[in-house]
Amino acid sequence: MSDVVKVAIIGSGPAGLSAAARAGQLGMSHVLLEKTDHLSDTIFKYQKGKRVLATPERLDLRSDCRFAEGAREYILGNWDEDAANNKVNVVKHADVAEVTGEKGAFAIRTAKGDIYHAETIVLAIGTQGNPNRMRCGGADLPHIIYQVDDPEDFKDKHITVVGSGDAGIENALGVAEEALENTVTILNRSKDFARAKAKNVSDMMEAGENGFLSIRTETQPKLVEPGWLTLETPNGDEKIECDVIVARLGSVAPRGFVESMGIEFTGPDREAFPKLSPTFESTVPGIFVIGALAGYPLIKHCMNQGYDVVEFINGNTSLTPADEKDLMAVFASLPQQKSVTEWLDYLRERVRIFADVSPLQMREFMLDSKVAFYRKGDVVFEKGDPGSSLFAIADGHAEVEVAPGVTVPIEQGSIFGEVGLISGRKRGATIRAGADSIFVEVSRTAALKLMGSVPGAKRAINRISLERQLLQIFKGGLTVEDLESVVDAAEVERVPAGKVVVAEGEQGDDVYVIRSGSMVVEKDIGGKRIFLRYLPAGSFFGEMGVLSGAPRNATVKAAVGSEVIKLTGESFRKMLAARPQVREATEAAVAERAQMNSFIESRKASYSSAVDLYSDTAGFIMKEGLGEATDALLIDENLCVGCDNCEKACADSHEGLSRLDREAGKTFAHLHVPTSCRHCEHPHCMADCPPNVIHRGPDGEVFMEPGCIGCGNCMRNCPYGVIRMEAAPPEKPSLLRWLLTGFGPGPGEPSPKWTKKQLGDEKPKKIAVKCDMCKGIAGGPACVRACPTGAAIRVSPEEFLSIARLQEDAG
Amino acid sequence: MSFILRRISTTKTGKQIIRDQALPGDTITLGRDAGNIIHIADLAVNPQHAAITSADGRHVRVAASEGLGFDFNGRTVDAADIDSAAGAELRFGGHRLTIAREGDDIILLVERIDELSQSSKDVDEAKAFSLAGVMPGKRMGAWTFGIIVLLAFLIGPIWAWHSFRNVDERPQGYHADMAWSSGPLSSAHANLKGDCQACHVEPFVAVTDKACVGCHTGEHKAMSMAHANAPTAMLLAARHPPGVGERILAGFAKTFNRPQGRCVDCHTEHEGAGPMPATPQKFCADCHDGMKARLIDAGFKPTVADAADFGTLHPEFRPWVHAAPGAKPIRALGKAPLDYNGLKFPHDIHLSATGGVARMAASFRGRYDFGNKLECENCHRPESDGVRMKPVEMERDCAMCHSLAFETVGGVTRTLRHGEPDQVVADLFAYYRSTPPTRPLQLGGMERRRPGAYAEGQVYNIYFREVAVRPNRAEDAVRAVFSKGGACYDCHTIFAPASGNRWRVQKVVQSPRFLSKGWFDHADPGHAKVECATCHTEAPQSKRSEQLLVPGLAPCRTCHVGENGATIAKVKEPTRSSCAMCHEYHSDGGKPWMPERERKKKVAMVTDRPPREVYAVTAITGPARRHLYDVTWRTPVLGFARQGG
Amino acid sequence: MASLFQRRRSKATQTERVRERRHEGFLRYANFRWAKISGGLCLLIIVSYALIDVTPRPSGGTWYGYTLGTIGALLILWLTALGYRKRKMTSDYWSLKAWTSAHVYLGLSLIVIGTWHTGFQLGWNVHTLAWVLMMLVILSGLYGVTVYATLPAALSNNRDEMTQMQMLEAIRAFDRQLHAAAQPLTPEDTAPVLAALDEDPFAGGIMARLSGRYPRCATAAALGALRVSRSSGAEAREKVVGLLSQKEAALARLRQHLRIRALLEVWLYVHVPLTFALIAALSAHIISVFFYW
Repeated sequence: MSDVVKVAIIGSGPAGLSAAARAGQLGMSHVLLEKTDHLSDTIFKYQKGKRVLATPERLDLRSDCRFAEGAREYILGNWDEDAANNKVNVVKHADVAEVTGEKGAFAIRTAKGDIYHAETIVLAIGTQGNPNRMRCGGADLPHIIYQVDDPEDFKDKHITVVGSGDAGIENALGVAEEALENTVTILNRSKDFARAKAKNVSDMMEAGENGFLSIRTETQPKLVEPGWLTLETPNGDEKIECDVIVARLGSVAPRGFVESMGIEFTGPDREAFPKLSPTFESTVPGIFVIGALAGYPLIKHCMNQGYDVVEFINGNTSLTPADEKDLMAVFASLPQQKSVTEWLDYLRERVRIFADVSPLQMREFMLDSKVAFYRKGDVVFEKGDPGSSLFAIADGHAEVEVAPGVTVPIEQGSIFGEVGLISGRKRGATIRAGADSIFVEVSRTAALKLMGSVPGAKRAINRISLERQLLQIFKGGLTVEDLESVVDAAEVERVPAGKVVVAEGEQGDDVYVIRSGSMVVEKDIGGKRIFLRYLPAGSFFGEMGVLSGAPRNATVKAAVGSEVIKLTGESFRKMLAARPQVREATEAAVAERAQMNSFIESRKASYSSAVDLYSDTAGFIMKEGLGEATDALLIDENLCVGCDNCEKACADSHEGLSRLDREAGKTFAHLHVPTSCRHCEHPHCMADCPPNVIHRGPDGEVFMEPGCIGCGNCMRNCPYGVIRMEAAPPEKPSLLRWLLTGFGPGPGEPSPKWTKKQLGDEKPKKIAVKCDMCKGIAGGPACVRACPTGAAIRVSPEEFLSIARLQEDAG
Repeated sequence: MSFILRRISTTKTGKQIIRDQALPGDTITLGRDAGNIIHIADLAVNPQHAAITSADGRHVRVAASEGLGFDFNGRTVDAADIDSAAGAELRFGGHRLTIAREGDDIILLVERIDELSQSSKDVDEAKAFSLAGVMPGKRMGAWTFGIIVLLAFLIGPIWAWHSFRNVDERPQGYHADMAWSSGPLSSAHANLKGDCQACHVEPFVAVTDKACVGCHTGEHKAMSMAHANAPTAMLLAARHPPGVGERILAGFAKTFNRPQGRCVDCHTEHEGAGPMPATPQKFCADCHDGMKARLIDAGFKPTVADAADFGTLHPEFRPWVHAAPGAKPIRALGKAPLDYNGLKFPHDIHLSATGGVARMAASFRGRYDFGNKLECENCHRPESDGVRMKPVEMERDCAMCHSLAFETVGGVTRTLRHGEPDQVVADLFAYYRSTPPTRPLQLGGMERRRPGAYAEGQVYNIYFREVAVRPNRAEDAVRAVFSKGGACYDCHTIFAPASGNRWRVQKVVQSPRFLSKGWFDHADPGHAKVECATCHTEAPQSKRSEQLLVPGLAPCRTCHVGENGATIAKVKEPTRSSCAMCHEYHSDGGKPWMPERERKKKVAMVTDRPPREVYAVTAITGPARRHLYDVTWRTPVLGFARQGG
Repeated sequence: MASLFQRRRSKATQTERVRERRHEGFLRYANFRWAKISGGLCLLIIVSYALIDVTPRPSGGTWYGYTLGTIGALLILWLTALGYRKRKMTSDYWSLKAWTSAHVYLGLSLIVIGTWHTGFQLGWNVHTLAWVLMMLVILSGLYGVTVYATLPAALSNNRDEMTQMQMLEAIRAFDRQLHAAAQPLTPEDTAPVLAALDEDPFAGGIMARLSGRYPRCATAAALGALRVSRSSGAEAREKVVGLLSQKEAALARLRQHLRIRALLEVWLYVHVPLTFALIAALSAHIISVFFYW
């Protein structure tokens, strides 16, 4: 087809659909290109009956399509109707392969080869991307599928699963169910299933032993024919029966495709987004980017943007974004009266890190940021407060209390609080307003997004944070100028867990500062590696070498994936030379550490068993990933009688669901690490939370505020499997009643059977539940309070591995 | 027709998958062996288990081969004929073979209906892994035990009490409320052990004196007069200030309506079998220790001295004495009291081992139970119960020496009447009138006089009187008898005839009991085994009969010590003596308590039932409001208290 | 004693409140605080009993008896309250460990309080019944304390990082494999295997649970039978025998787990019911005293 449409919308997700619907309403000539045979593929692929939530509530919907919380089918149904009602011109099976031309005359070629001409393009393809195709003969045959919606659609078939990731294994196990009587084969190019979760692998192995599926390693497909598949195995080719091929080979992010159109991104790393104008226009004039791809994962955002972008294209410039009133609310508390746009510009020109942030991004950041006015002397936060947000000084200045009575000013335009942001540790110093000031508090997620999408901001923050960290470590007597040379020479290194940073005995005078993560210090005593010390983020090591010039006297390795800042020896030495009192301070620290090492060595001689146990325990704890924990539940199985009161207490002090599994988890020397949240310094669960409801609370706990959409990202991201997707069970009868009559499930999490019986056929929405360290419960963590024998305690690793412990043990 | 094998398998999510498959031939073999047409992977099925055939394509015959049969309509059979139109269900091991008909095909439906293994059954983790699976629940146990105990030991007893509310006497045998007994009853009450209501009449009302006096009638007073007549205020003042303990107890008593001053306060029961224990000295000492001062402080006039413990603090005895001849008896004050009983009797002369008296006593050996000298018991005879001494009697205790004979007529001796002075006068006059004053013939007798012949109690006195007074005139004789040297004058105080009246003799009074508050038992073995003189030390030296020979505190204390052995001086083989040993609270003349070791084991039981009225009163009026020392009082018979001594 | 009760920091954030750097068992809680308290209490009672002479003789009816009785009764009720406390998750600050500690030591002190309350007058009556029940409850409690102190380590060793359900799952897996592997066997060989499959891992009464001995274990029997049997194919039989011995091992672990748990629990089945019997007897005892006052 050759006629030129005003706007071509690629991708029929919420954003694209909403845009198309708007275009339809406005009577704009348009085309909506969808690669599959149905609208909004991502949501279509949700499992049947899955509930879709409409968050954030505060944001109101502006679109020609309806959207309210409801089941997947209901929402999809609505959208199909809306598409029809708004006379949306949809083209399905139109998988865009290439875009050429420029504003006014774009040519869009689909995989099938059709060409569409459009003046402008709205890119709403989301982040799901396209699955990797098989690369072998017959790769385009129709019986090759790239996802399994419902395993039970397949029965009595010969199925081959290609790809050994979790997705592949889960599909294979799904179709390999006994009752379906499929003949399932799973292929793995390599020897082992390194990329998959251990649980999945073990399940698969068991299924293999029971003959439900055959596992072929070091094997890959060679030729696909209807009904048959030729395999390339270590011992020659082999032809097997095959009716269906499930190819789970991962997927390519859409970024490559987007960049191929010439659209620039804000940075290289994966959090980066396309550079956009306030009207969503990318660096290629005429191509607009909206939706998840633009960095807005929530359906409501997408739909609003779809509407907005079409309005913009239609020449409506007066349109204010839907979030205008929310932003007004953000600025409402300030003394001066300005319009939202004025405020945004004000901040962007006055605050360094906001300098090269696009107005659009600015809006976004401000939505989950706070702007507040502080009188002179007001405390912003106190030393030791937990908190991971970043503060920027828009007006006035702040004063850091580096030592009692000693304050260092932070000038307007700079930032503070970045240590908390980066290391996830508690606040290192008390901060007051030096004058009547306006501070912007950017939430952790927003800040990370900012760093991801604005390289300038990232650099600024990193540098400042490094300076600050050093200032903090060598308390007082240092100025930014002193650090100049050190910081310039410094470089940040990423260290994977277990990697040795400094090896005992080797020469070297570099000094390291732990930026994030944590390290363990070990020493080889009598041919055995003895744990000396646990170094949390913010501490430094390697200074002995600088001072004495002697070889390293202990090995330092990463307890968890960490970032260290490497300071070159001589720059450090220069600084010390310049600042004798700093040298003294450092030497004092060194002396203290040396003294402790010698203590342990002496003990090792006399009480080797105690020291070994201490050391092994430490090793175990680190192996269990507690290195990144701030507060973990540890059970002493010399005391635990298995009453599960901790679980019951947990369930009863929350909404009837236990957040911990006492039995599960590893044990060493009767020290048991149950499956329960450790409140990591850098919570993996926070990494990707569309509604952004996971936060770190005032006591350092990582908790979820209401508004979870049940996407399950956090559960998947948590390496310790401590997050459950569950629906709260119904109300239980009163405890007394149970005590007297035994009616009902009694204390603790009710049995699924009982819950089922109570609920009947209603299926409440499953949302993520995780430990919140009993946030807001005066008594503190219920699991610990409720342990009758004192087997359960909550500690941070540095507390638990304190030298005091060893001293007690070794006498 | 053909056989169609239908298999239904269910997925984890509950989806059912149906598979139909036409089976070749018209004999279908069924078994575990893979060679069968219908292959059932079930260990409970034989390799070749059964064959299914159909002659007419409608009726099906299922025949089991050797070994196991199959279940058909609940019975195990080896062969079955089935009309496929009607359908049937057969059971092979864990599988079910359903035979049905669709069109002209015979559908054979094979499903697994049993779990593959026992352990595969889904379990309730909490239940299965705990003991809950194999033990009766705790809650159940708690309820059962609790209820059983309540029934047996609360409801039962209350029921027992209720059902005998208005019954006079419970039948013997077990009653539920016996389980409430806090300890065995004393032997006196032993027969009441099944009959709690005998004493515990009203629920939640402490045992009242009514319950006691119902049986303990007769002389038994609820309380001594001294206490009963005393004003309550005084009694209150007398009590020693309560210590912590008493205050707590009083608190309980007050809170739970337990009045004080009841019999049971002292006579505690349920203290174990055997006789009721003596009321401990503390019950007295609580008040009497330092009472004087307290009473004075409270503005009362104390009548008794302080007493706390016999061994240490006890006032001197105050026997009843007649301070002057013919005076009313009063309580002696001070040491060596005099008691004018009207007799002249020098104990020293009579008790001395030498001299006339002894000689005379000796001369009567054989005729009277005298020894070489007189002993106390020759004149002082104990009462029948041996507790106290009978009054001395002239005729019995004196006359064998102090004869009143004055003439013999034909072998019959005539004596003056004792105790009747006027008769004496009359007799003498009569004597002188009837006979001339001739010398009695026997006086002229030549035979030699042997010593002791005087003691023949014969004419001795008169003879000498005759010799002495000349000429023989009756007045003279009478005067002589009543005057110094005369028969009466020796022992009695004589009043010479004054205007109008004649010779009179001072009345003689002998106290039956000198110590009315205390109790002394001469018969008590402990006392009996010692000489009279060990206590009545004064007797051998006493020249005048006015001297009161009742011993004081000291001799008692040579053996008797306080309830818990307190003494002032060292005592060998001490006898612990509570107040109750000598003092007898109810002062009804009964015997007080005796020391444990001398108590007779056999104690009479109170067997007569309390009269109905005892209860009837409270039954009508309800539990009486009681005040301190508010008691039931019946007038006493206090003989000695009235006539004194 | 002052040192026994130093107050917690008033403004401590909730996490600091329950922070403990080390595991501290309920017995040594707060450096044996409650042991000291109840020990002192007992000593006080014994000494004062010896010093104070009450009339007419020591018994529950004297003021001393009343005092001890009241203390004892209240104590019993409070001790019983532990059962409620541990299940009632109120949000205010309390530590069940402290409660347990107090429960144990004050419970033990009841031996003295209760016995001295009787004044050593025992007989066949409700009063002595209450005393006996109390002693029984305390004895069962003593057993409980002992096993709580000794068995947990064994429990942990035995389960070896396996959860209960995993233990069961293991058995189920072996059953499935057994069932598959036993297909080729002859009927006389399948019979014992079937029996093994039909064996309920949770079967066996309380005695079996406590002793951990299962003389009529079908799995063991099957193992024995198949080892000697020659009827069916050697290779298939070997596989089954192998699986059977694996299942036996899995069963052994599960049963040992059950045994230790049983030993840890069984006393509660005496302790709790008798407690309520005791409370009933106690109320009967008290009411009777006032009823026949």
